[in-house]
Amino acid sequence: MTDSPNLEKQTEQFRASFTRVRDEMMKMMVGQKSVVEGVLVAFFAGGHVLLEGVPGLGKTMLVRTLAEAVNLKFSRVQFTPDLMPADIVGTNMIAEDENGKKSFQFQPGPVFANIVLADEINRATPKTQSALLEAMQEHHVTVGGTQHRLEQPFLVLATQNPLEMEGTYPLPEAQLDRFFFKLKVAFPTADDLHTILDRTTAREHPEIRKVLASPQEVVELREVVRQVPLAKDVQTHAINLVLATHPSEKQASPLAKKYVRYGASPRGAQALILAGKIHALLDNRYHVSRADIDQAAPAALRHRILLNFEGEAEGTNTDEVIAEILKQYAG
Amino acid sequence: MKTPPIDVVLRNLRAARRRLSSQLLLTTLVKMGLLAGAVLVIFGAVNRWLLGRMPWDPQVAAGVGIGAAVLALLIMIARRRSLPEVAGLVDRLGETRDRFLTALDFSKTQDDGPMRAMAVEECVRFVGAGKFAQLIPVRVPREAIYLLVPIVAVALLQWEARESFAARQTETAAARAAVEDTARKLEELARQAEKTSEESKSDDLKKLAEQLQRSAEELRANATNPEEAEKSALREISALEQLVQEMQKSAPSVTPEEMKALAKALAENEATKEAAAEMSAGDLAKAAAALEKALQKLEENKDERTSEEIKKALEDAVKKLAEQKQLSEAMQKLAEQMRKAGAGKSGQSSEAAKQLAQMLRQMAQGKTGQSSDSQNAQAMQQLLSALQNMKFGEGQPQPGGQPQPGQTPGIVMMESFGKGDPGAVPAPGDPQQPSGQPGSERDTGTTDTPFGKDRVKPGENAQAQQIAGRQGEGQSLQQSLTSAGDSSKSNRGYKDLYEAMAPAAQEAVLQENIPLGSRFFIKRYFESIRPKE
Repeated sequence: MTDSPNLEKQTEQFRASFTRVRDEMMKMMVGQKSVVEGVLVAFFAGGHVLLEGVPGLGKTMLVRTLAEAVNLKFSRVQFTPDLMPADIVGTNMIAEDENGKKSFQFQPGPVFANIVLADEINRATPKTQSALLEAMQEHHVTVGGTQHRLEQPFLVLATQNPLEMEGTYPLPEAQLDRFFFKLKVAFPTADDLHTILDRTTAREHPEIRKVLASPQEVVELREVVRQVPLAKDVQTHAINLVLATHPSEKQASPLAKKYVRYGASPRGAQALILAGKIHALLDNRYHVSRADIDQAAPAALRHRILLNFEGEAEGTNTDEVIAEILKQYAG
Repeated sequence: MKTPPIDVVLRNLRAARRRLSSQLLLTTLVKMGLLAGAVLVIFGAVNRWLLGRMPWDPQVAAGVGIGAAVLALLIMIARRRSLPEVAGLVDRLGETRDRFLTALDFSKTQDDGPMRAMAVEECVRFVGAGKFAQLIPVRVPREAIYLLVPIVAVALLQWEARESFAARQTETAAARAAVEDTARKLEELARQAEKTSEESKSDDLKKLAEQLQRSAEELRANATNPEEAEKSALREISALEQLVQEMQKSAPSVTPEEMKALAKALAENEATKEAAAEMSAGDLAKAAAALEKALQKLEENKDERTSEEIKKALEDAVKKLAEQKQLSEAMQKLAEQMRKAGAGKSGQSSEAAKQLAQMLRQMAQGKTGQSSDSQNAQAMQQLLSALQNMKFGEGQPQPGGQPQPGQTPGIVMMESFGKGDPGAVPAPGDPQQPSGQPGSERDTGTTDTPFGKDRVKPGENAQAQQIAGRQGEGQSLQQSLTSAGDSSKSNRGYKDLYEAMAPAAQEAVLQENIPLGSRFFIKRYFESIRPKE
C-alpha cells in the first residue's frame, strides 16, 4: 500500500514518463500525435494495438521508436502466407553439446520480445495468426508440450493494409476483440510531408533517448494506472456506451439498430475504463470522467462492432455508429 | 485513508439546487399564472354575459391567484432535483470533468484507497476555486410576457362590467327618481284612503288603499329604465283610475219619472200606499222600510192576491215606461227580476216588491242615507281626481284632502287639458270618442233627449288613446270640484265657472284660424263640458 505522497509522486512520474516517451516518438513520427498517444495508452494499459494504414506511413518506425524510447526488446515479424506458427513462437531444434550428445533445444521465436510488430497480420494463414493471438492472450506459448512464458511487458502491434485485401485472411471477430485499440494511421498532410522529408532525407537523424530504465518500471507504471478510481456514474456511462452498440439492447442507437450485427464485448468496456484512467492521469486528475471515456471510445470500440450486410452494403463504417452513440450520451 | 470532507462541494451543489428550484418556481408560476388567467377570464365572461353578474368578486380572484401560487410551489417541491442530478448538471455546464459527481460518489463510500482520497481532495480544491452555482441562471421566463394577455383581458372585462353596471345603476336611479314622485303620491293617497276607510269602515276603500300601496311599491321595484318607468307609472295610474271608476259604480238608480211611475203604481194599493207617499216625498229609505213592512204583513196574512195586485201594478208601470222611453239600468234590472220572479213558482208575487224595496234601500244608501257612504264616495272621487291629475302631469293632489289656502273647502284641482308643451302636436283622436272631462261622455249637447245619442261602443280591438292638447298662452282659470260624475248633481261652482269662462273661450275660438275639419271636435268638446241644466 503506497501512501499518498508516494502515490502522488508516482502519478507525477507516470505523467512525465508518458510525456517524454511521446515526445521522443514524435521526433520520428510527424503528424500522427493521436496514433502515438493511442499506442502509448494501449502500452501503459497493457493492451495490444491494431494499426491500419497504407504502406509507407511509418507504422514500423513507430513501433521501433517506441521500443527504443521505453528501452524494451523489439522484434518484427513480416507475415506472409507461407509463414508457419513455428516461425512466430519458435520451435525445438536438435542441438549437440560438447560431448556430442544430441538433444532438443527450444529456439524462441520473434514473439519472445517485449514489443512485437506483426506486419500485415492479415496475410498469414489463420493457423499462424492464432499462434500469435494465443501468445497475445495467454502471455505464453506452448511448443512441443512445453509452456514458455513471455517476458513482461508484452505488447503486440499488428498492422493491416486496407488496400491489398486479395489473398488475405482477415482476422476473425473473436481475434480482433483481443486488440485493445484499433488505430487508423492517416496519410500525412502536405505540411507533415515537408517535415517528414526534411527529417528523413537530411544528413542528421534524430536520436531517440531511452526514457524508461527497465521493464519493471513499465510494470510499476501500469500499476499506478490501475489505481485510479472512478465514480459509479462514470462506469455506468462506459457500460451504456458498450450496450448502445448492441442492436437488441434498449440503449441501442438508431444506427446500431439498423446496421450492426453484433456489438462490443466486455473487453471493450475494460478498454474504455483503462484508457480513461490514463487520460485522467494525463489531465492531472486522480479520477476518471466521462470525457475520458468518450475520448477512448472510437479506438476501443471500432474493431469490436460487426456490421450487418446492410451496413456493409451502405458503406457505413463503425466510426459513424460510435459517433452517434457518443452524441446520444453526451447529455 | 479517510475520504476528506466535501463541504465546499456540497455547498456549491446546494446553492445550485436552490437556483434550479427558483428557476423552476418562476417557470411554474408563469405557467400557473397563465392557467389562472385563463380560468379567471372564462369565469368572468360566463358571469358577465351568461349570468349577468359582476365578473368576479375580490375573494374569488384572490383565491384563484393564491391557488395558482400554491400549486406552483407544490410542483416545485415535487420536481426538486437530487444532489447527484444537480452535480451532473453542474459538471456538464461547468465542464468540470465530473468533479462534483466524483466527489459526491467518493464521499458516500468508505473506500480506503489512497488515490480516492487524492481524487476527492483535488475535486474539492477545484470546486473551491470557482463559483459554479452561478452557472445555473435564474431569470424570468420568456413566456412571462404572455401573462399580459390574461391581465389585460381581466382588466378590460372588469372595467367593462363596472361601466355597464354603473350605467345600469344610473339608469335604475333615474328610473326610480322618475317614478319616486308618483310612488310618493300614491302612498300619500293610500294613507288618505286608509284613514277614510277606517273612519267609514269601508272595505272598498281599504282595498283601494292596499292596491295604491302595492302599486307604489311595484313602481319602485320595477323601475329600471327611465322611459319605461314613466310609461309604467302612467299604466299603473290608469289601472288605478279604472279600478276607482269601477268601485264608484253605485247602485243603479232610477230616473225621477220612473220613480213617479213606481210611486203611482204602489199608491193604487192600500197596502203600499205609505211606501208610495214616502217615495214621492223622496225619502227612499223610509219608502223601502214601509214597503218591506207591508210585504211582511202580506206574507203573514198570506195575502197572495194583494201581492199579485202589487206585482201587476209594478209590471204595468214598467211596461208603460218602456213603451215611452228607454229604461234606466236600474229599471231594466228590476224588470228582469220581476220577470224571473213571475216565471218562478206560484206564491212568489211579493218577490217583485221585495226587489223594489231592496233597490230603494240601495239607492238611499247611495244618495244621502248614511254619512259613511257619502264619505266613501267623496273619498273615491277625490282619489279619482288625484289620479287623473297625476296622469296628466298637472296639478297636485291635496294631501289628506285638505284644500290649499285660498281655495274653497271640498274642492280639488281640475285637470288641465294639455301637456303644457307649446311644441307638442295634438294627436288625432277617435271621432266616436268625445274628448274632455268632466261631464257625460254621452252628452254632446246637441241632442234632444237628455240621454244623448246612442253611444257607439268601440270595437273590440279599439284602444284607448290619450289626446294631448296644447295649452294656449291666454289666461286660464281653474277650479277643482269635489264631485264630477254622471249621476251627481252639478256643483253650482262649476256652473258659475263655466258661465264666467264661456264667453272668453268662445271669443278665443272665434279668433283662431281653426281648420274646418277640427271645428266639429272643438264644438263638441265645449258642448260636453257645458253643465247640465
